[in-house]
Amino acid sequence: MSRHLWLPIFMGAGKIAVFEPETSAYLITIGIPNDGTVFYPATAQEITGSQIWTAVNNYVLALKAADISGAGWTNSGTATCIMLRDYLFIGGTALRHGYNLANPNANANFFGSWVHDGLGITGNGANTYAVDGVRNTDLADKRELYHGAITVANATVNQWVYGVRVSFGADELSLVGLGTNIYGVPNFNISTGALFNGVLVLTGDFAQRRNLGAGINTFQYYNGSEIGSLDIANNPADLNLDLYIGALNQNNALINPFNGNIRQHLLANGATLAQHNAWHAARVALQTALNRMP
Amino acid sequence: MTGYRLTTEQAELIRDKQFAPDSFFNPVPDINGDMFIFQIEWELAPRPEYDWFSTLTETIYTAPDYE
Repeated sequence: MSRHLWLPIFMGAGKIAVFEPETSAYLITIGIPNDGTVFYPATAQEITGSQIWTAVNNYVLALKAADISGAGWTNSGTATCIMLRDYLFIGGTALRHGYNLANPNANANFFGSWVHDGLGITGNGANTYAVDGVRNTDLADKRELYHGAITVANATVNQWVYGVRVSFGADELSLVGLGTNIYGVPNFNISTGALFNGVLVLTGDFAQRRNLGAGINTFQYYNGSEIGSLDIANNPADLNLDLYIGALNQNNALINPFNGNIRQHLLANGATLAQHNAWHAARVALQTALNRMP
Repeated sequence: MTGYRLTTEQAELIRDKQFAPDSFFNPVPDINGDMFIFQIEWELAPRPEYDWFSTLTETIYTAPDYE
């Protein structure tokens, strides 16, 4: 009897949302309240704290459904793709943008004149980059890396969203480079000519995925669709350098800084094609919910 | 684009120092080797510690040729 009475009242008061612990950990860390607080007022990205919580939670649920997890996530024991970083760039300040969903204990530091706002982070193409403690030598197996970024840019020269190398023409790990070509391929040796002939499209969702094994093993995607694939030999070089977000780290020097807007940036190990597809769809849904899908 | 030209000594004085939460100065050379910072660093640098920024002149910045 009481249950029948209680349930309609309960539902009538509104469904109580239950958030994933990873959603709460991230959004509490960056200080986004789950209420009607308005972020980015009077802009196209205007959104309430509650809407941000729902958007991020739906994203977390989609990742979990695809067996993708971050450090210490509730599904990390069974997930087959492990995220190292996933910067959602929510909150409009450097402090908030420095935290990421995959591992809220890791924190990026921003160098130079970055602009932080409701669209994420925007570099100036001159002195902007960020570091978060990920060094090339820290990557468990560069042959299985998955990297993605959602960017908006207008470039006529080469720029890098993420990368590292010792010198021009030497071994490099240039994850997504934009400009006259879209560069890619984790851990490739440029001297072998392993370079995608890209297109000058700088706005959208970029990703690349590399799997172990012989034959075609490296794939590059634009807005979810494959735009190139190659068989690239593994490179044993292990560069002891920080990976720069928003630039290329050339032997601890800033090279080719990005002068566009980065709305999301992520790095993972072991993504399958199905996981790429699911993750791309989740990214689009998240950025759409945030009113900023380019 | 424009930036604010620094002397070598000024650049080394502020390099990697924090000017806002999670934000750090990064003076870089232009094509001639002159050191520059840019708008956000100039605007957000706390005063009075960086009152001397008001003496810097906004100048055209030309990036080095990257490979």
